[in-house]
Amino acid sequence: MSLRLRLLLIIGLPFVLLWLAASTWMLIDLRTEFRAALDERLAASAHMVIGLVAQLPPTPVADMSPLRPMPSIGALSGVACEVRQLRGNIVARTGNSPERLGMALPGYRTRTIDGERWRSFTLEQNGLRVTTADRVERREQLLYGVARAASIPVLIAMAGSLLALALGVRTGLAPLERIRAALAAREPGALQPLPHSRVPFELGPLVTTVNALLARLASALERERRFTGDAAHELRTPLTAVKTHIQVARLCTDAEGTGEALAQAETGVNRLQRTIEQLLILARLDAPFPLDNQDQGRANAIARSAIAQITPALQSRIVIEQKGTDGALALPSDLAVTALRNLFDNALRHSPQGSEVLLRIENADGQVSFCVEDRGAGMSDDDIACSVERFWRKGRGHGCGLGLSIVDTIVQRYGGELALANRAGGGLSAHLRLPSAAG
Amino acid sequence: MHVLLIEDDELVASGILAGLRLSAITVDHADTAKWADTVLATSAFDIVVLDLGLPDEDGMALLQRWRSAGKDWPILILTARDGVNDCVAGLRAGADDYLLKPFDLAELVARLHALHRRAAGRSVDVSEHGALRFDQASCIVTLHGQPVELARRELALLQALLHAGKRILSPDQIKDCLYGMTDNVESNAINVHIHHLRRKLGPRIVETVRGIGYRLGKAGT
Repeated sequence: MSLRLRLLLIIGLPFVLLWLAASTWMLIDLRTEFRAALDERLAASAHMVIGLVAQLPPTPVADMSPLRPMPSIGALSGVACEVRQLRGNIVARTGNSPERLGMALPGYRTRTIDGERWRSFTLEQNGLRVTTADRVERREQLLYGVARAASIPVLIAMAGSLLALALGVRTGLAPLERIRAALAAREPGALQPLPHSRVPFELGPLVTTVNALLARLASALERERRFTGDAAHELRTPLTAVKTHIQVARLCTDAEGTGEALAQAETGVNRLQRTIEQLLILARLDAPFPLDNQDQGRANAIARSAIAQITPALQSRIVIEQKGTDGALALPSDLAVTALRNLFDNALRHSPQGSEVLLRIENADGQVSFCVEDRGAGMSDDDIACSVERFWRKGRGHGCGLGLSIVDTIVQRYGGELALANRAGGGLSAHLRLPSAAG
Repeated sequence: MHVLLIEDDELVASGILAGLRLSAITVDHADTAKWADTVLATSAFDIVVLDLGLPDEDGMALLQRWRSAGKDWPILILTARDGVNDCVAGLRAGADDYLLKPFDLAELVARLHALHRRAAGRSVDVSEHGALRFDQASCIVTLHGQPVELARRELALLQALLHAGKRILSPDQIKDCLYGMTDNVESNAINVHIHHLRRKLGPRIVETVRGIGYRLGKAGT
């Protein structure tokens, strides 16, 4: 049910019922009062007639023979009147009074005479019986006329009020209707915010919430879109290199050219492999379910495994410095190794050839911290801010841009911390803190 | 045909450079938009191959900048991005053709030839000039129906002359067609190539216009 109809029913129905009840009450009261007033008039007329007759000079009773032409009095405002002797002779009567009108006991009576209903009042006094009467039909006609005159303004007022109510509900709900229309007119995929101007106080939070939700959805979709676009780019570029070099190798007529092309193709394959591995790690980390491998290692073993994964020629550049005990880590060891290895990759890639990369391991305050320090050019604050974005890369042709985002995803999932900072003496320090297992 | 390849990925670039050189196309490489601008300002190119993902400027912005500056060299876009939107936007922005990565080297070469011959107002890859017939796609040259063996630079020189038609080519223009920017060119190298061409295709194939340059002459006489 629409809100407008609901409001109309909730307000309009009691309103109509109340007005109808009040009107009915009024009509019933009116009818009683009206009948009482008419009855009073009958009684007053009878008293008046009997009073008048009493002032007449006495007439021999014998003269009042029924054979005498009766004095006929013109009907007065529909009231019929009959004056009779108690013995039965009619003394006088109005022209509109029916036969046998006076044959009634004293007081008010409602009788049917000659097929017509009459309301009569009979008064006996001074040997006379005076009966006054109204036609019931006439009384009802009068009552109906009064009731109609009274109810028409009420009905008009009620209809007017209902109209005003309908208009009021419509105008009052206009802001809601605007939002509804704005939503209905949208394309299914549209993500632009709802209009926030002229929104009433009560709807403000709704519109704000919906807009915030839309904004979050839009940014999530944009991130997804960019991610797939970037992933496609990162996979297709080495694939292009491999394909092109293989085709070059086929075109080459000399052994040297062929060998060169194949070596390049292999470089491309290695890059492709590394990108796919990194993407798979990210996909595994992004998945909502727990990771299969749950065995947890100690800091030194993890550092050794990470170094073992680096190209052998570069391993000697890494120098380890340890403080405190060899702490156990509270996360799957293969992820810790991946995170550390990615930091090594970056440090080795962005520092001068042959320069030393220092790894400081520290176990304190429930955390194992790995600090990888290089002697490269460091990073600007802007670069540090976007360094954990997926596929962000410093410079060209260096890595696939996923290393730090993987480290970041790991620390976010297991409650660690990654801080990049420029070193005082030049170079960058990447500080990775991971939660240590109890004991 | 002198092509400029603008591609930031070294591995991809080295593959394309090697492939195009093997197909007798003179090619230079720029890895940034800035370097591409510098190279294009100093040397003449027949076609630009543009990768849309450049480190210093978006390829699409570069394309629009060139076109709004009135640069009219044919442009072929390379992109690794998903979907046709990039390609449609690229074509609308003024590119002449596009290829999605990964592509076939043969297709890239064929498209470059197509762009080149369209720019020259031809519709087939085969140029005929008197008794001379030059199939640019397969690099086969025949004179009076007899195949003639030409070296890579000689093919490029012949192609440049055929492409120019009656126009005179200055030695610098010929040099641009034959050599990349990084090639070390001997001072008399062009004369040597012209000499070889005259020996193989007849002495009047290249006419010398004194003080100005060279022009295509009659073949086989």
